[in-house]
Amino acid sequence: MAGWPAAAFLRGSVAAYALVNAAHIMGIGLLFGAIATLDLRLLGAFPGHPVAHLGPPLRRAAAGGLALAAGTGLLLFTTRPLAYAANPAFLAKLGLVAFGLLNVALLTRGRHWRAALAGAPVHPAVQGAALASLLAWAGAILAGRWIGFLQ
Amino acid sequence: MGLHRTGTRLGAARLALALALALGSAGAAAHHGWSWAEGEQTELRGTIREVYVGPPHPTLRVEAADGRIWTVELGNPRLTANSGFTTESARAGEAVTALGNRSRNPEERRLKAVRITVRDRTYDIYPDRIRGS
Repeated sequence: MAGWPAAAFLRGSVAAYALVNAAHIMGIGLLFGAIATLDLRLLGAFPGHPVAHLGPPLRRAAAGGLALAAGTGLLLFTTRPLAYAANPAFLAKLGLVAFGLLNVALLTRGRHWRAALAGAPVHPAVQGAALASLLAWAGAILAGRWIGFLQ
Repeated sequence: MGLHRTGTRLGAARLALALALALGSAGAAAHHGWSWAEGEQTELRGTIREVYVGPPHPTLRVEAADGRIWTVELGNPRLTANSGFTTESARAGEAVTALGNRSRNPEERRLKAVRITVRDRTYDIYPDRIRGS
């Protein structure tokens, strides 16, 4: 991986690295902004705005942010794969991201989520998943920020 | 290079440990400034295990005589390039001498180099900070 042409290019160009790094932050911002808004709605905030209206666009925006963050994250990882793979903060971040993805996969397969989208009151199971989601993504950002302090 | 953490499953205890480790070293804000490092300069001799020249921060990983791995921070990419040091200047397995300021935290094996010597060539990363040479 370290030998990929993109990895060599990023190692050699501060401008390209900064660009990919900035895009990574944009992806994280889009992901967290959208998912936190949706999670807070499920937990009771913004009651005047139905989950049926907010849910689909916020999920799509979060998925777009995730794709951007994951793609740029992979590029950044390739600049120094062995060092990142040995970094506890990086491993914690991957674990939290995996937990966040598992959480949303389980949530959206359940009938309580479909009921909430159909306008029913939000079931406590959905609220639990919303809280777990908030903590997982916030934790992933914290762990991600810590990578540089252990590198 | 020595990878000590190769596990793939990340249990809750391990996660907590990782975060605790991360928070525990919060005193050393990596790279930036000198306040986290000792005022005295230290000379570290060892064998290079990894050479990384590039953004965000050029770094050597160096195995000391006692087998412990040190992180030797070079300058930012511009300062490192100005010193003449490039990816081609050193390779894993070669001997290196690094002069610089080590972390105030004795648990942390991290040195911010002002000068490194490899293949009999000297690279002055922070020429105005080099003392006692």
